[in-house]
Amino acid sequence: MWPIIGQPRALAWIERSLKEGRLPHAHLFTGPPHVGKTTLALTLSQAVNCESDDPPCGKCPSCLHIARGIHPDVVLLSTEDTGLSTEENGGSKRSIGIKRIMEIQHLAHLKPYQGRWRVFIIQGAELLTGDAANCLLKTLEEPPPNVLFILLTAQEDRLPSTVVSRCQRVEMRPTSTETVRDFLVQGRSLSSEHAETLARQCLGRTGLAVMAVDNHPEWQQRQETISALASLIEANRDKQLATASGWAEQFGKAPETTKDTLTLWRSWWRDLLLIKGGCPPLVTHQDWEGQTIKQAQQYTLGEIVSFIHSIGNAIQQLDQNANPRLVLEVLMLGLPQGMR
Amino acid sequence: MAQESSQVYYRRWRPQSLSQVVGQEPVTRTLLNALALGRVAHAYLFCGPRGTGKTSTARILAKAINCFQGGKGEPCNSCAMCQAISQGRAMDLVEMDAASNRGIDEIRELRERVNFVPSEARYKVYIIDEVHMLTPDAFNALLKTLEEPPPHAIFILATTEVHKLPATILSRCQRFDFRRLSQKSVVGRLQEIGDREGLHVPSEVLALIARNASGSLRDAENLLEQLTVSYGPEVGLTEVRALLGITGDERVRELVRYILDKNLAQGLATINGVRDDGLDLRQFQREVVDYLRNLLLIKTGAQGVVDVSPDEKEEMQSLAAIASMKEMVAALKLFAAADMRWDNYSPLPLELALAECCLLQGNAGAKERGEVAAPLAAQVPQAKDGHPSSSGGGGGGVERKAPAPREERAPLPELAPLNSGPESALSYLKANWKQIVSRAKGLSPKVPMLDAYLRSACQPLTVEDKTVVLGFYYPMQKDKIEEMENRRIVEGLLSQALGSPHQVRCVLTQRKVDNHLLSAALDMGARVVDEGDENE
Repeated sequence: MWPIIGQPRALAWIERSLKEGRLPHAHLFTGPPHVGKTTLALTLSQAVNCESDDPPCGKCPSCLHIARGIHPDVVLLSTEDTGLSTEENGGSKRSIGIKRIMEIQHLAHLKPYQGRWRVFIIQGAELLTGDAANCLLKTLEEPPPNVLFILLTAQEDRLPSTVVSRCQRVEMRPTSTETVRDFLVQGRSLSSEHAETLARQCLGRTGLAVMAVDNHPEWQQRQETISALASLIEANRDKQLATASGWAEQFGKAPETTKDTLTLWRSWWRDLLLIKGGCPPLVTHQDWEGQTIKQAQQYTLGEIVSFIHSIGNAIQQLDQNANPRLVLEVLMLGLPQGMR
Repeated sequence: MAQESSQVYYRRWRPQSLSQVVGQEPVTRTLLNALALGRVAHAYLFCGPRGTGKTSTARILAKAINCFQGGKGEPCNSCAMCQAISQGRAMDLVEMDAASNRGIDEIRELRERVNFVPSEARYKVYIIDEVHMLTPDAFNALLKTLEEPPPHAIFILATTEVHKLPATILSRCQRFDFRRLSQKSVVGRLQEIGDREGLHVPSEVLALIARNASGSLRDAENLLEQLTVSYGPEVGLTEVRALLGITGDERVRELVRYILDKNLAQGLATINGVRDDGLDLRQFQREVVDYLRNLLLIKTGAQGVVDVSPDEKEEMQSLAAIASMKEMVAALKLFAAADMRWDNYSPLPLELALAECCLLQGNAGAKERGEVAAPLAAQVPQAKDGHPSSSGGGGGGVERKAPAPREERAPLPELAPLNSGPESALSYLKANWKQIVSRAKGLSPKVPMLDAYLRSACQPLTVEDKTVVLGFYYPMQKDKIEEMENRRIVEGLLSQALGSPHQVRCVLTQRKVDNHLLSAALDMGARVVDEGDENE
């Protein structure tokens, strides 16, 4: 049983290639965060190493070891825990350096220890440095027998085309809202209204919906951010600028969080756009409907559109190392005044 | 359950003789002639984009030279030597992954081993793949060996990024440029593979695959493999479309109609429908742009160019009648500029482009505050300021930059006239550097800050022989500018500024502190004894 929601095409393909014994040696799973890339990669490594007749059974020692992350032949390279100091990793925490890849190449030439296949899963493959990616090329093209590479990425464009071309690309697109809703109703026994709201909010990313049901801290954080954003538009200038400087401070510590906040705010403004444009049923944050409809009435379509562009610009400028405080304050000052 | 992985197509169908290498006739013909005349060079450089056959050709060449049955033409692929090489167990073929063994130590080791004569083959062949990743020291250590190797050694270097090789390496090799494959040759090769694999794939499917592979055979073979594994040996157009996330025309037509009708609500619904079905929005964007372009062609009367069925053409004509040329151009620009790279899966860029299209008519948005779902019937089919594309975000007076259409850029600053001669060209470049490079802003889709790189990370050093030498202070910016497309942009800019075609060469230099006190002191005969650390 494959524990993946949606993704019929990816699943069908993998199941068939397993059945026909035509599993390629290198995969690239692309798709936005929280659609199940890591889950699918781990399940695939269970499937090739499973000891029962009906892989992946999830019960045999191999499957259990993989699920607990202690299987000796399944290496999960994740960016969060590279186990290396910043210096060893080529000077940056947010990248996968050549040393890690060389380790992998060494491991790839050893026979599998417990299972049948050595599986290397590289999470966040777009974070491979140029050296590391090039270093991987030859191994990725013609690895030793019984070696499986699975690269996962949310930003395929940032991978060199030479890497992409050596992998079998499996695209995992966001799941449709109905599928997520049905899963929540059947699998998690939610009421259908609650499920619908959550399914809309998670934009086809099943992992997010599951987090919401489990009341994961990350989800709670998200809800808090949204409620702060909801009132931000109506707040006075002092409050807005204070928020901006708070974000800027946070950016110094955790840049991703600030960018996530901005992205969330952009999705808020997208709701305003959808309401203004006459498509209220499509909005992301359905539980805030009262607020969004009220705010949509304050602005013209042009104002909404141009502010969404401003948020996008701000995110881009933050990526390009602009002064975060300046960028965010300019963004706040650019908030359309609306009817007030 | 798969115990043993059967090889993927691109490994199983690696060409085994020069005639099987498709789409690279100039290369294969030259190599065959060299083999026939017995005039094989001692150092080759194969360069070109991914999946064009560099590594394969290198291996075939190694076989052809060493084949026990002659060695004057194609390899026989049946003698012991050919087989050993095909299976990757020949002692005398050394294939080196230069990206993993990139240091001077590995090259030194190679140099020592080069002197040993081959064990059974005629020549010892060294294939150095991904050679662009060698360190500068390693390159230099290789130079002497590459120039005059022992008579039994042949070097074949292969790379996708030839601009990273030093000129000293280039001049010691016979260079062969592998080109992107034409659609026809890709289709031909896929057909061959399909026949031998027992697949029934119609040629229009193959053509679609080839188009999506953008000239890389490996990408095409991967796609074909994924198709046949997913859908079995009988594959039709619907299946490829589903795999590639192509929408088919209906919804594209639908959306274009809503765009021209200025029907925002329906348009938004269409876009979200496409998203909900899990289709590739970027592909969808491409199709919309394509369709709009065809409409534009029909509107201008260039009907012969549009390649569609008569029925469709009729429909397009009726659509084209709805909107004015200006609106159509504006819509085309907005949708082409919608930047889907930051988040592939969000429909927002398309929704924004649609909203802006609807806003185009006479800033309608500015007056309808307060009402939801404004009626958006076509009223004034023209923008007031004569720049249809720039009035899109005009409502709020907020500055907007992201998908700025090309035309919107500020007018070029006037530059002082240029005298002839390389000396004056250099001083002209130096004097007007800021204005010249400011035009680079937004020209490169991948490096939006191209102008900033040029402004602050480099300076023009010399102008010699129609080549402008740019000195960069750090390798990162140098690499960026050296990328083919960026370099073209810079070359274009500089040629435009200098009034004649110029090329660009990038080198690394030290940042020179431009200090008027220092230069005055130097003029008066001072000598630099110590460089302080006071810059920045």
